[in-house]
Amino acid sequence: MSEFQRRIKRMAGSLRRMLPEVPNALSSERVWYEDIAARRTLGHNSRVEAWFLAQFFLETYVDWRDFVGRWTRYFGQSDSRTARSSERLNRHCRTRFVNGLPFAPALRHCLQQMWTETLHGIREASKGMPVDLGDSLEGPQNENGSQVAADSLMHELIRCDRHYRVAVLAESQAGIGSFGLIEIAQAMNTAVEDWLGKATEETREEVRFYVRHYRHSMLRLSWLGADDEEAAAGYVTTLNKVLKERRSPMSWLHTLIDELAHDEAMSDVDLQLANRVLSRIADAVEELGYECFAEDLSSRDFLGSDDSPVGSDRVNVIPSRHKGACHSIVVAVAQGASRTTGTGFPRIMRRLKTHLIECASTTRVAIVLCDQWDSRSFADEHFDELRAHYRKGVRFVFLVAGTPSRRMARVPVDFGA
Amino acid sequence: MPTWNPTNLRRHHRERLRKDPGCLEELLGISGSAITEAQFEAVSHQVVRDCWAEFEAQKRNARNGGYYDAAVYSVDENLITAITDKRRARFITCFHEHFDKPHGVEPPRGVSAGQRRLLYQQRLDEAEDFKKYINVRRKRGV
Repeated sequence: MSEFQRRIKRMAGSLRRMLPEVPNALSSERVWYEDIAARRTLGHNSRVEAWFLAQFFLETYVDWRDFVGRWTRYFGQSDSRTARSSERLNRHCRTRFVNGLPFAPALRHCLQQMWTETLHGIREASKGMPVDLGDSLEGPQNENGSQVAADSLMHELIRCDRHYRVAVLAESQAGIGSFGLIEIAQAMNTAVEDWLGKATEETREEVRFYVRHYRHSMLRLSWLGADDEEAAAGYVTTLNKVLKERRSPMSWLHTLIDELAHDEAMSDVDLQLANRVLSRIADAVEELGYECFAEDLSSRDFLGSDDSPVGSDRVNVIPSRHKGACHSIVVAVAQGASRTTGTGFPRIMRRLKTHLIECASTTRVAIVLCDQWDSRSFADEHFDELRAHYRKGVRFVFLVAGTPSRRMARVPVDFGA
Repeated sequence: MPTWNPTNLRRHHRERLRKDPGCLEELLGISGSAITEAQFEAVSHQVVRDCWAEFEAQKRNARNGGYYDAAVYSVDENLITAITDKRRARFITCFHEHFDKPHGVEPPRGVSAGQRRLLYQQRLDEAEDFKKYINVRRKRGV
């Protein structure tokens, strides 16, 4: 089971345990301030404030719902058992609790009060920036002030983003802005943005490190977009603003597309698909890093989709657990140069050459991605065979990951020389 | 039961007095004086013995861009946290977790044990998602 599936399972399990224990959404205000038993959620003899359990349920629900949606699209798993069971759980959650939210003013009032206190806390923390805590003995070893600040900021970015999504969910049916939760959530996001603006460069760099990994863990990728309700609200949370921070586009992309467009061997259909695939690869590598990009393509979860890291389900991928029909584009992804591992450049090239023979009448573009390039061994071991395919109309693109591995560069290989 | 290196115990006891005066005292019902080194040591033993959550993880070391060696985290109902080496032979540190905020702010004073647990669970999941912790092995409660 992949890490992504484990996460889905853990979140779904948490929702199933909480559902029977969260009070009915239409309960009176008094109920929300009471401590209730939550044996299934917390274990024997554990009690929790009803409002907090409801909030925790809603937070888990929006995280799970959005993550499953992205996972399904990213890996092409819309017909999977996981997708079907998630759809059933979603219906169950909405019927039992979520759909009642717009008619639950008491709970929303409770959340308003608690979130206002949280907002105050964020503003107070922001006033204390930049933090210089000096060396601390916290954690396994010494931890400096910048790291502590980055940790706090990252948690707040996530919390404020999550609160906004809960607010949109709670007010979506009753009319946006009806009950003030969205306004408070937006104020929280503004406060954490202010906090981030005051942070030292060292802290911001550490936050960027965290954001990159969070982006992959939660599949918060630019082309997977926002939840429909959130998009309808037209607001961008601070976390989403940080996630959207991009470098300048990779210069090789436009040059390459232009070359392919002027190549008589390329049909309009193939060119359009190649443009889509290459653009997606550029985005995916920039947002994920090459290692995560390659891992996801060779993952058990990967079935191919238009929302995948290669931008289309009409693309052959090497390596892949699913052979499928021949398509006009093949993407070969190598990691390292080992001759003994299945993902090393030599084996990937061998599999590519086999594919080019087996799909000779179909393949028009071969995109080879790697993180190490050896010109001499390429010339000795692969050039002649690939040139033969080039002369039959196959066009090759070679891209190598740079430093950091979120940047790629084109390797010039001239089969026409 | 893990043991303390005497020098490390002294350092961490003094650090607690410096960084969070009154924090452990309030949780333990100690009034009129600061927590002693012996009491601090006793708290760490109690946490390991009575913890509701236990996990092993490597924590991010921003100084060198890597991660510390794996350590075991034990957390009690008050979110007092004891960290030992992977073999659970030696204490590394012990502190009250209030998420980089002043004591009593988060979690607020007087909230239920359930709220503290859920908050801790949520923060741990997030920390794993953004790779503050890696190679997390959950043993109990989380």
